[in-house]
Amino acid sequence: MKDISTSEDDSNLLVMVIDTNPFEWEHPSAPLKLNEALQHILAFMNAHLAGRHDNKLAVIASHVGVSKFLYPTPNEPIPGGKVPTKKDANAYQSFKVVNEAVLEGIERLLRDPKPTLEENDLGSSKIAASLSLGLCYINQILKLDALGHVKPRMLVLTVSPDSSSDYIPIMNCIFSAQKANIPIDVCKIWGEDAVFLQQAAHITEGIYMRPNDPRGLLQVLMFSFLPDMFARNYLYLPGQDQVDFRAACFCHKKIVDIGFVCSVCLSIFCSFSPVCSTCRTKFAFQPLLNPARRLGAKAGASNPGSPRPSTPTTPLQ
Amino acid sequence: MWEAGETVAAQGVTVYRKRPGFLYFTNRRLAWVPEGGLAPTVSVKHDEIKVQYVSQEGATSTTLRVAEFKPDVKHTFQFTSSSAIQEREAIKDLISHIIHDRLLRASAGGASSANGTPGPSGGSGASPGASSVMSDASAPGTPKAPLQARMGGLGPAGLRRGVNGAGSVDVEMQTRRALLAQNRELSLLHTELVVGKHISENEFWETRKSLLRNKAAIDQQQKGQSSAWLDLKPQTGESNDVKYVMTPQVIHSVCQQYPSIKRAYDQFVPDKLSEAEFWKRYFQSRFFHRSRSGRGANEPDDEIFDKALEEDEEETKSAPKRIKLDHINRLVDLSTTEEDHLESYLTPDGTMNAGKTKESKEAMPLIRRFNRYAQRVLNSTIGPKRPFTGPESLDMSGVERAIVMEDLQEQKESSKIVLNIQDTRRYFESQGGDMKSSKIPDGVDPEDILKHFYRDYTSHEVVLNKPFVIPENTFDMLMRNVKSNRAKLLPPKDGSQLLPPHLYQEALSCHAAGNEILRHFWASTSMDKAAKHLRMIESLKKIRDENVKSLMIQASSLGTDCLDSMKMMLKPMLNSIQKALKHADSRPKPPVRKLA
Repeated sequence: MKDISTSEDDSNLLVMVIDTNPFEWEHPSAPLKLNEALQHILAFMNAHLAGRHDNKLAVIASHVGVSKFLYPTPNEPIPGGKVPTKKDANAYQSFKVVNEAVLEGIERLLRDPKPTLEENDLGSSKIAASLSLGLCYINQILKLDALGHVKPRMLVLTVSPDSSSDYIPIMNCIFSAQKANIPIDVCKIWGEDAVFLQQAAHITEGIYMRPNDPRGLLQVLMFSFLPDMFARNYLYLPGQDQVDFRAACFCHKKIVDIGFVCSVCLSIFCSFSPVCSTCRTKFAFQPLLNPARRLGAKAGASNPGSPRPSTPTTPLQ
Repeated sequence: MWEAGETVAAQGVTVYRKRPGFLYFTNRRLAWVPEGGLAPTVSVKHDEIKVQYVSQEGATSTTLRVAEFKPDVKHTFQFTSSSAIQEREAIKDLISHIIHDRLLRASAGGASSANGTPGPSGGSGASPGASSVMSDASAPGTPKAPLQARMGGLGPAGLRRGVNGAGSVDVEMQTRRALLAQNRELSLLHTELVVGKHISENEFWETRKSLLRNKAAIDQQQKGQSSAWLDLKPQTGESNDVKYVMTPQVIHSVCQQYPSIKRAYDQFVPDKLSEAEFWKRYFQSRFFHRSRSGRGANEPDDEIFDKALEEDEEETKSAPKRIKLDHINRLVDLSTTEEDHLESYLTPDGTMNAGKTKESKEAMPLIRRFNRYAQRVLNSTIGPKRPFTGPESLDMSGVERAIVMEDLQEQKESSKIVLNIQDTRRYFESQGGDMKSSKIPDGVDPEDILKHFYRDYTSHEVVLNKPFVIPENTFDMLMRNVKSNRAKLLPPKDGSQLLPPHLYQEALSCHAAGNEILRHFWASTSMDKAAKHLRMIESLKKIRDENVKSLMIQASSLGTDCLDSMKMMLKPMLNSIQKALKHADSRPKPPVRKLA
């Protein structure tokens, strides 16, 4: 019930970000081909458009090294002569327009410019760029909508793992979305949990899903992500509400409950070192006691009255 | 025979109900023990003492009568030893302190009740600030009774400090009692733990020092003087008589408002006039009635107050002395730039000159009166304005400081340490736990993958009217997910709904007691507190084996639901107790090894 102002008559703007990272889709272990997934995704898009006559849709492809609008295509004339490709008397026109725009857009993306393969960021998807595009688009639509009837939301369909260089841009997008009250739904179609996006969904009060079987994608999409903002007030929706915010130490990538934090750059370490390996700050003191040992000594550490470790470097709780 | 922490402040040999015995005044109560007896047969808590009476000096017997708040409970003690008077005086003084202190507390809220005025002999000057002295004469009142507060001097604040200084132990006791009386939960816990003999009174309070400190600070907060303009209104009693109530507060205000009255008071009371006579004449005087309508000049002449009236009018008529202009801050002294304005064609602005018009002339005395009063109230609170010390104001440094603009000063580079992160990737990677970017199989050219991907994509057309094959378990997974989310969103039932209220209360207090003892347990792990530690272990065992068990039995008699919720409620505490006891077992018993 967070947003009272939603109503049945709202038109819904859904901005979808589709991860088209070829290195993931084409990976030998991928359980689904892009073509197969697109069948599900297009069906879902059509369902969204069918939900209300004034529902709006935008589709953005998050490719390797580039991020592009698939629908609606801004300022790009439809390549000449191809206006109605296949006459299909049974197709609903607006579905058809969207479907073709998406399919062609992806085709162009795969064919045309070779994605610039950066040395240290090889094969990571441009999720942050896509989120920014989506937020800008939403902003534009909301500005045009004088009545305030458009209720935006975003849905990210991703297969790529988090890219560490994207951390700050993604976080910026998340906080912008949070401020603008735009929920970011996330579906990690397969693979490990996407930590950044998990946080995105959590912070913006969106839904995060990681289906156990990607072949049931359509059902997951329809079940979890189709209900609009108004309906969400009345539904119990799937999604995980527990996000792992625990920090991992920089030295061993181990999740730590109590560790040492560099007072300059806030790097986390599981053991004390006189020089911070991240920012080269030198610490001219010895910690009083190893927090881990202290913790172990007291089995009932959570009990009242047990002392807390106090070390020069701030213990991380 | 005494409670823990009780100390005897004074005692005397007395006869009570024709039995010889000893009267003790302790920091908690007044107790009388018969000769040869062990326990006090009379015990009056401090808070229960309503009033004391003492026999006149020089009377045949030296007695002290104490009345409790309970109606008709009075105790009369006759002092029989050779130093009877001294003994009685000692106890009397202590009791009047207590009554007094209580009244101060009561009157702090403004409502002073008169029931505690010490007896005929006037309990050692105990009443300023507390007793309202009622004058019962007809027409302009005659205050009687002792008014020992000298004007402007001893306020309630000064007196209170004296009381607090009397004995810090005593004060702390009172603070504790007041805290318990205010805080029901605390008092329940106190009953459970201290009365239940788990921990001692002092241990209980040791962990709550901040509460005591806080309470003491609140109690010691001085209430400032009321700044309201005093409006003496008579109370009209039966048969049309008029009554003025003079409290020290009122007297203080009168003196504050009219310095001429204060001067007269200082001059005549108590040498030439009694206090009561003075105020009686005040209420009859022209001074008092001049501002009241309808009385005109009917009042008899009164040399004291006529003189005061004259002085007062003189004071308000004359304009205040002009402020000396020597010490004006140079930055706001307009006269220093006067010569720059000689050429202007403006006439000086006279509108703000007070007393120029007829109306304002009439209002001036009143305005001056208010202003003076305001000044006096302020002075009484913040102290008089510090007199200017000449040379300081001429010092240029203040001027310099004011005319130097910070923005025009050269900025000194502050020494900063540049944050130099070697590898930002590594920095942010940790946020995402263990992660890698997409793996590209070894020996495969990325270009090839892209080409292959494109071929793959174009060769297979996306067909929408092909049936979807959805695995069956997808729906189950979604439903499970939804159900668990729903369970989390529903408000959890807690013990207050599942258990009958009295059992719930008991469980709560058992839980609180357990946690308190756990806290003491962990606080006493050091070797110098070994004895307490052992005691805490015993208490923990007792809680586990007796209190919890009895709760469980009661709950189980009400059905399994009840038992389950009781178990759920007490489980965290039981776990903690288990851990604590395990810790105690694993500790080396004799304090030899770990000390080093």
